[in-house]
This record gives sequence, C-alpha cells and structure tokens, in this order.
Amino acid sequence: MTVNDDDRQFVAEYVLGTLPAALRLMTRTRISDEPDIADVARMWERRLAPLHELAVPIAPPADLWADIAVSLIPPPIPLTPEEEEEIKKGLPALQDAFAVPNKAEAGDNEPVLAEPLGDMAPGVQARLKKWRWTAILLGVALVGGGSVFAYREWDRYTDLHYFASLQAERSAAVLVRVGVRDGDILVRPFLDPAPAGQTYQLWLVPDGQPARSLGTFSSGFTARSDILRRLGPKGAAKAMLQVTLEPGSGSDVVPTGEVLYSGRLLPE
Amino acid sequence: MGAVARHGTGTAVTRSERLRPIIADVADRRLDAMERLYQLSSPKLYGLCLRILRRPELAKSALKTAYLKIWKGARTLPADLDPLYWMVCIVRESALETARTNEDAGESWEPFEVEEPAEDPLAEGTHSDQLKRLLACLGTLSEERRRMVLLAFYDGWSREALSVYFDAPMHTVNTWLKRSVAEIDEQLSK
Repeated sequence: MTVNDDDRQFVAEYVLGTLPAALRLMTRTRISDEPDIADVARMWERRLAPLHELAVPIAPPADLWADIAVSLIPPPIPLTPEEEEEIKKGLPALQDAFAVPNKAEAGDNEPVLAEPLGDMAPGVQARLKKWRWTAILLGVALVGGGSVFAYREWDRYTDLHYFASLQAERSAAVLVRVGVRDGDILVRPFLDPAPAGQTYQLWLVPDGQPARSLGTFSSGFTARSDILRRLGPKGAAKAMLQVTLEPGSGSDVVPTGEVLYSGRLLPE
Repeated sequence: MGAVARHGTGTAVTRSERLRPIIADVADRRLDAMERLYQLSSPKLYGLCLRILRRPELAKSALKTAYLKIWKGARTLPADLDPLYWMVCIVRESALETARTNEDAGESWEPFEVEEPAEDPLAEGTHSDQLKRLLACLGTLSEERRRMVLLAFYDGWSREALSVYFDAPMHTVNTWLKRSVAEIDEQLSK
C-alpha cells in the first residue's frame, strides 16, 4: 500500500462525509483513478457501514418505486416516417431491426448515471464526463460562499495545505491542492486537450510580484516546487493561481497567453 | 455477516445470503428482482437519506439516484462485501453529493426525530459483530470526538458544520477528525 497518511486521512473523511465540496470532488476523482486510494476507500466503507444498523427506518414516499421503475425501463426507439412506412410494407428485416426490446438491457436508454461509462465510445465518455463534472462543479461554485467561513481561521491555521478551484465564470475547470510546507502540488484538470502545438501552464502569482511557472500539463499531475515552499502561509493567503494556454512546450519566464482560469488558495 | 434471519424451514439465512441472489437477478436486468430489493431495503436507505438531507424531496431524489446506480452497478457488487453495506455506501454517497452541491440543503441543527418508524424487512434481532467492534472502538474516543464521528456519519455534517456546532475553530475540528480517524484506523487494523 503506497497511500501516505495525508491521503488516508482524506479518503477516510470522504467516506465519513466531512470533506467540503471541492475536496470531496478531488478525492472522488482519485478514488476513481488510483487503485490504492480506492482500496483505502473500500476499507473505510466496510468499517463505517455497520453504523447503518442504528439508523431509523422510514417509509419512503409511496410514488418513489414507480418513479424509479419508469426510469429503468427503456422508452421505445422512435422511428422515422420512412422507417414506419417500410415496416407497414412488412419488411421482416426492418421489423427485426427496429423491434422494441421486451425488457431493459444494461445501458439501454437508461438515465444518465455517474458510473460506469465503460460501454460507451471514448469520445462519448469524455464528453459525458466533462458535462458531468461541469454540473458537479457548478454545484461546487454555488456552495462556494461557504468557503468564506474558512477565512475566519486563516491566521490561526496551521496545517499548511491549501486548495484552489480555478474557474472561468462559475464553471470550475482545474482543481489544485498545494502544501506550502513541502511544496507539493496536485493538479486535476477538467479540460479539453490543449490545441495542437500548445499546452496548458499553471502559474503562481504572489501578491505584488510577477507570475512564476509551476509547470505545464495536459492531464492531472503531481510535483514539488521550491517556489511554493518559499511562499509560506502568509504568501499563500494573498497569492493567485492562474492557467494560461502557451505555445510549444510552455513559456519559460512570463505568461504570454490569455488567462483561462484563475482562483485563490483557500486553507483546507 | 452477522445478520441472520430464520425462514419457515428453520434454516438460518444470513442477510447477505438473502440479498445476494436478488442483486444477481438485478444484474440480469430483472425488474421484479429490483422491486423486491427496493421493498426490502428502501425503509432503511430512505431513513439514512432523510436524516442527512432532512427535506423529503431531496431525500427522495437522492434515493432514486442511488437505486439507479444500484441497478446499473449490480454486476460490480464485490463478492466479499455484505450487499447491504454496499447499498448503504452508494446511498450515503448520493445523499452527501446532494447535500454538498445543493444550496438549499443546509444543515439542520435540530435532533432528527421520527414519529412513526417503518418496519425494516432486513432488521435482525441482534447487532452485527462488525457494529459491536466499531462501537467499542468509538467508545474509546473522547465524547466530543465520538459525537463528531457519529454526527458526520448519520447527519452528513461537513467540517464547517461541525465547527459551528461545537463552536470550535476549523483547525481544531480538523485536528479532532484527524486524531479520530488515526485512532479508529489503529484499533480496527489490529
């Protein structure tokens, strides 16, 4: 098991339910993507699930089962007028081709669900995932006001880990977690691939100072940065993170592209 | 898995043995099996949802989403996991997602009270060994930290809500949670 204590704590709190929305989102992606993290999640689920025995059973709304059942039964496949005409003519092959299934089959016209997406084409999966994340992240943005609460304890906070949701408008697109003690960076983007010949680049913008590159990325990555280590908690409190689209393998010195996403660091 | 039912033949059947073939039929897309599973499990699972969300319309929506995930993921039920544990985890996750992403789903500070508890078709006469072990472990935590863990599990309270409820700074709550997790981890790993 290669999961460090910090991550084990996060996963346990994910299962327990105490993580705020953005951290919960990031942890869920890691459970989905990293088998070792998923193993820890399963372990905590087994440990905590027995508490359900003490929960009070309550009769659900009378119409809920009907509501669920309707969602499980695939609707008939609509036919074009030409197809209906062909069927009226009695072409057996077409009748077979457009037959309405008698029972629900896995994945057939089912409601949009979070998991799994394994039966779909990769392009469809990517689009569905993107929209799913967009929906979830919009929700995160809606509850973002709650993060103001975190500032109350800003000066007294000692754990030295920060979280940022970099977004344009209200749609978050890049989640970043940094530790200013060790300079750790964990980035989870929810973006389309960068255009050919360009790359996304993450920048740290300390208060009143020029931007400094924290690295380029096309997918999630982890890294360590001396820049973050030197920043310290006070610097982190006033710093911004930005994402730009840069030509080639990225810009060496200053951002040259437009800022696509930006956000402040919030203490966890 | 500890939970045992006795049927007419006098044969002891565990809850897991009772649910697993039903879920296998659900995996084969049998709607009658899904309805049976719903009848058996929905009182318990709706109770979990409603306590976290407090609002019936949100709890109903979260439970519906959970059952659709159960339908879709029935083939993925781990062979060594109590099926009810598996469903409990799916339902709590659905309720927590609703709670964290719905601006109308604020925490309720009132105690959760139920005038008329429903009958639980999966209820057993005794608590499972797993629950007893977990409760023994929680019993070693300080009272505040034990309440914190239970409020998080049953009421779905986040760090922020716990901070408000216990009138403690966020970093204190984080420290309490960290210690609680570490101690539970250590004891249950033995």
